[in-house]
Amino acid sequence: MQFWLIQTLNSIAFGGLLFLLSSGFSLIFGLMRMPNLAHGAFFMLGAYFGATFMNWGINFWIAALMAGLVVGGLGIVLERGLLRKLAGNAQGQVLVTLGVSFIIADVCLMVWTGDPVPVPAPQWARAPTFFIGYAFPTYRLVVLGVAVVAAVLLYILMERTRLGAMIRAGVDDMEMARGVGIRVSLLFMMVFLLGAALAGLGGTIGGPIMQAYPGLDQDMLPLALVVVILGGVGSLLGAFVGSFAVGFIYNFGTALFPDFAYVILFLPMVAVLVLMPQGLFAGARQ
Amino acid sequence: MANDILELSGVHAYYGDSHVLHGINFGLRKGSLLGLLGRNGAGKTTCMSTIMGFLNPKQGSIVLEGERIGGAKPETIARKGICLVPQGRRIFRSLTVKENLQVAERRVPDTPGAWTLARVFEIFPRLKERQSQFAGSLSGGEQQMLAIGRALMGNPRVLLMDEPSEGLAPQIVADVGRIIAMLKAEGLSIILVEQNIKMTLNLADDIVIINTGQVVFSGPAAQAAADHSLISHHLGVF
Repeated sequence: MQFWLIQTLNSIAFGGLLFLLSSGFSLIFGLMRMPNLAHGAFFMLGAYFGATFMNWGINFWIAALMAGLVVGGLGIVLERGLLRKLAGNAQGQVLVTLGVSFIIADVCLMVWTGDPVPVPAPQWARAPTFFIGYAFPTYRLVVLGVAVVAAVLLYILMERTRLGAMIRAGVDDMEMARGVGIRVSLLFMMVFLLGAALAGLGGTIGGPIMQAYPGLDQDMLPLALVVVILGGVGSLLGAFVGSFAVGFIYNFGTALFPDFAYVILFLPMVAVLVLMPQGLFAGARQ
Repeated sequence: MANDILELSGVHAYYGDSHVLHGINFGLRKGSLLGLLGRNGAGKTTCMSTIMGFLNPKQGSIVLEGERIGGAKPETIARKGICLVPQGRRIFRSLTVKENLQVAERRVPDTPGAWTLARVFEIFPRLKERQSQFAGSLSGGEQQMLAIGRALMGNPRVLLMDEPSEGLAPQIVADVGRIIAMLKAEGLSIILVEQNIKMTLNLADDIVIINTGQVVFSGPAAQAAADHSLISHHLGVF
């Protein structure tokens, strides 16, 4: 029983982590029609930066916010400095983001070496929490809480503000959004900042579970891709549901059928691509 | 001309390598309605897209009350008060009716009669009833009302209407005609692109006919309406 409960909690916590990663990826993909293949690298950078800030004695949460800001700033540099110059050239943008992810990975290797860097959880979250006679890892509950708070804030931003409506208008019909006076270019920058910052924040938050290590980017990026394909590009609800679905599939797949974990993960993606290529939630609002 | 609010001079535009507009010249008098007519593929929608900034003119100038706007970004042009009711409506389907209107709002403080959400709902009570509904779930006629309301929320100095009666039931077409007449009576400057020639001739002060990307007639609507050979030659009707 404990196995199933713990695996369920692990799945939910991992799903929450994936939401921090994939919500930004989905927003960027939805608005800019561009899969940012550097998104996994942003997550990894967030983990490394978070560990470094904490080594300097900075509090875990402040370190996570700082990592989000630094990675968000890098996102702006990437968007303004490179991707903007390749507007309309989707293939070029994809290749550039892939190249940037390789560069970030190599720079991380140079700066933080090839050894895994532990990211300590806050002191108070290291002891287990006992509930109905079972011990639960407290920090995973914390991760779930952060993901839920992020989801609620993103929901309010996207669904309850004029800015969010403008972003959704840009996702719907970019040209017409510009035609009603929406500065889509500025929105691009803000969405890129937000998406990259969420990935950076997620990297630090996920650090105590995953550590920061070379290859973390390449481990996380396919998961974000699966989430977005399952949930539908640009859909916050899709990213939320997709993240937890992938969290469950990946965790239980790895625990129960370790040899087939990736088969179990990618088969639903293939099925959705064939049967519902727009994703499960792409048209949910219409 | 001096009292033109919008003036196109020698405008050439291309879709890729395809040369669509060949030196278009016409002016929209302030407070008037100009009907832009032409066969399918004549370049009417290209003309609207070029004014709106969706297409960059390769040559020529587009001037809004003395200010050159040709080649500016669509968002810049929209914020200067050129508002488009596009062909095919192009409402934001995943936004609610109210959100569709709010995202297009351009406030013009201290302007009597400025368009607000309340005023748009006043002339389109159906939109008020359905303000929380997703725009994609509206009927064709309601979507057209929303497209017009959205353009009005930009408080237009010039309103571009690209085939607003396209694909609508006759009763709805009549409603659209009444609304255009009301907007004209309020003094709005309007360019109306239409396949419905009778409606256009009834509403317009001036008519411009384009054929294969060139202006072949420009003059008062009454003159165009009286010249059946002109209409039948260039538009293939009557």
